[in-house]
Amino acid sequence: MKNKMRIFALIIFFGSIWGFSEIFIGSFLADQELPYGIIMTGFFAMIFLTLSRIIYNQKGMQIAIGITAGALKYFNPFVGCNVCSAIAIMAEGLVFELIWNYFMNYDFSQLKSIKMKISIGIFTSYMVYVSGFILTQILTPLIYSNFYFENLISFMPQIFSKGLFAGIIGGLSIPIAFSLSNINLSLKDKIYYREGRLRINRLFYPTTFGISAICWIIVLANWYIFIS
Amino acid sequence: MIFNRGKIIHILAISVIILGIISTIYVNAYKEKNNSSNEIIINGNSFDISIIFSNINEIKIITDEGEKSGIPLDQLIDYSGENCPSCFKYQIIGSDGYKQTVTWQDMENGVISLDRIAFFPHLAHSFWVRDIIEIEVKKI
Repeated sequence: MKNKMRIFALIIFFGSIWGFSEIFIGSFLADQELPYGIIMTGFFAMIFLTLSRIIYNQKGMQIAIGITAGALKYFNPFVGCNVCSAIAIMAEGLVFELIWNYFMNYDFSQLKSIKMKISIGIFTSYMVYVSGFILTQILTPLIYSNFYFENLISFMPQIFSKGLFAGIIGGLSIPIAFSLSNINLSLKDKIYYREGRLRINRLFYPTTFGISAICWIIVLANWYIFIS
Repeated sequence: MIFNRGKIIHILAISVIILGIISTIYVNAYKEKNNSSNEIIINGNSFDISIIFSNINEIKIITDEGEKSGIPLDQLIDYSGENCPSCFKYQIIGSDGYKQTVTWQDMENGVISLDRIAFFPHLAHSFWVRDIIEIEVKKI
């Protein structure tokens, strides 16, 4: 029987480290004039969302992870439109969820071949990036002044073009996430079988909640320092 | 069913790659076409950017990315000969096709740098159009 507390702990954990990396790693990459949006979605978002899906194959979890990451990203002092970037990251979680719910069966049996992992990586990463980008392009003008549809249409080739690089990175990230899932992380489960015996992973809750708390404290402290 | 979805995912992956490649070719061709001149079109009239900078004084503004210098966008519109600047909205177009539409109040707060980037300290960075090739004056 699935434990709701374990699912909740993993949602908070993955959402927090995703939001944290969006704020700090994303801002660092932007300062270096690197394509941070492409890297953040193609690599970090894909790794976190895929790992969470593999570790605990629970439908709806990736939406909740996106909401948690978006809530944390709202407290990013380095961007102009906090609400827009927060909603965009939530939408990324939703798009991932929709694609994986449709294409994946429960045991990921169709993902045994590397070709399938690469294909799902390319498609998911491309769609997640493009949809997040489009949403930001709609929300930002709406919040600051007016949204003009023709401005979005004329920018669509740029969005589709940038999505290509996010897709390629995603095609590499998802096979990496699958190989990472083979490492016996202390996050994997609270109770597991090894050598025929039932064992309890006592580090599960302290690890997930502890790391999540650290992420939130650093982000909120940074936000407080910046605005004051 | 699973087999079909497996096939579909390969087709979708190839489709987005093709879409991305075609878009990249289109964007680069569009950029190349528009990057060749040192001119900026304002309301259908062409102006040399270096002449504009020799006629209008540069100012410095503070943004969340630090200090930016350029000529005020409202003075640029005045320079172009627009009689009633506050009667219109302004569509700023980049060489890659990126467009943002702003009001006269926004233009009064923004500047354009010598490398043709618009900075608006009060707006989100997505309004900071790069490689500006045209400012279209539009009815509100």
